[in-house]
Amino acid sequence: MRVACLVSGGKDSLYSAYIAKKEGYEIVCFLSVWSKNPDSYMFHTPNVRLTALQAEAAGVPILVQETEGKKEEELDDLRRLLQTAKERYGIEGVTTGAVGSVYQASRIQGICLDLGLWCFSPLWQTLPEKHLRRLLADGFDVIVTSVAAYPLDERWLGRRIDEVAVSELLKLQEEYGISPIGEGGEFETFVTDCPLFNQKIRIVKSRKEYADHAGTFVVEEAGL
Amino acid sequence: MILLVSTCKEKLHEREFVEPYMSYLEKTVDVVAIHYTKLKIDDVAKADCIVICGTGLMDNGYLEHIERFSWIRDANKSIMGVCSGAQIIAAVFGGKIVPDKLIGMVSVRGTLFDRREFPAYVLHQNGFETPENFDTLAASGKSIQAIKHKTRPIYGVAFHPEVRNMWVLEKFLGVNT
Repeated sequence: MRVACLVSGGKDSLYSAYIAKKEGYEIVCFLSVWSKNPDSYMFHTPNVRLTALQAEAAGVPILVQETEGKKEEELDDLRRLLQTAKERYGIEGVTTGAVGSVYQASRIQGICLDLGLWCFSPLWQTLPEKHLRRLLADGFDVIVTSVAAYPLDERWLGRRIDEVAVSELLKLQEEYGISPIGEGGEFETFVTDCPLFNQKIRIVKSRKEYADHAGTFVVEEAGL
Repeated sequence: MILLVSTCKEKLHEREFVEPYMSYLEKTVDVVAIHYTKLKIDDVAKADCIVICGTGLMDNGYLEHIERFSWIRDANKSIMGVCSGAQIIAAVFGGKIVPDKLIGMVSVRGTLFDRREFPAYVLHQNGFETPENFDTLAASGKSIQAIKHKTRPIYGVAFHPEVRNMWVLEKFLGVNT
């Protein structure tokens, strides 16, 4: 089946695309919504423009939809994006990185059904520890690009998720109840390398913005 | 041994609708997942409990093959159907599958394993009517959410227990023992 992959740049959406390819689905293009609203309920924003570089690394075209990010109105932008993908690339289905957000999932599901598109969320309800270990085992290079929950602090910005980081995240889950995969918005990530990419993404220039346990690792320049 | 029956036309959907049960159960019990087209009488015989899992919104493939589930009629097993699985159970016992589009969280009211009211995740284009030898256990508005055979341990739930309501699975598995 010809599928388009909705990507935010983070580990969940990219890993979902990877699962689809592994299961024999044809990834026709990436789709990304670039929200101007940093507090969007639907679309994750840090460094989302870098999804264009990820598409290049994966050797697929990307369709982008900019949105003001107004709640519920941003869904019309998503609908427009999926409609365009259907017309331009003849996609039959869409993959998403949704794990547990019923808010996100039900809205994407509804739009896909209206457009006659199959909707796949291969990471739906995935167990956090299993997911993190699979990311490492399958060669995903992931960096943390934003934090928004105590006790994740500035030290996490730009940090690569390796075995040590996974252990720490699992410990933080035990002690503080944070989701080790950031399901509660505790942190966002960006994939710099994975089996989907023909080339690694290099971060050339970056800066950290941080205050009161909330911050962003802003990528200013990156290339292949 | 717990048998998970996949009703998914697309393999990628099994990650969403079968895998959550597999991951949840495999740590503590023997569990196997088999697609309904590959299911043999022997597989049913070996199982203690059977869960017929749901599938995606666009997937109506199972509706064209209800005859492949006729084993449900005579299987002396605990069976729980989820969403498409519940529609299949209803159809096998002579109930009607009806158009009923529901996506998102709904409030389920009735009595399902002693729970009277709870929020549940629904994701379907079709619902079902309670067959003649079944009781309606719970509903949300006009949509039937849970049914049970009057005398046998056969359940059908329209909502998805694997999303925030795994207690339904736990209670169902407890029924057998």
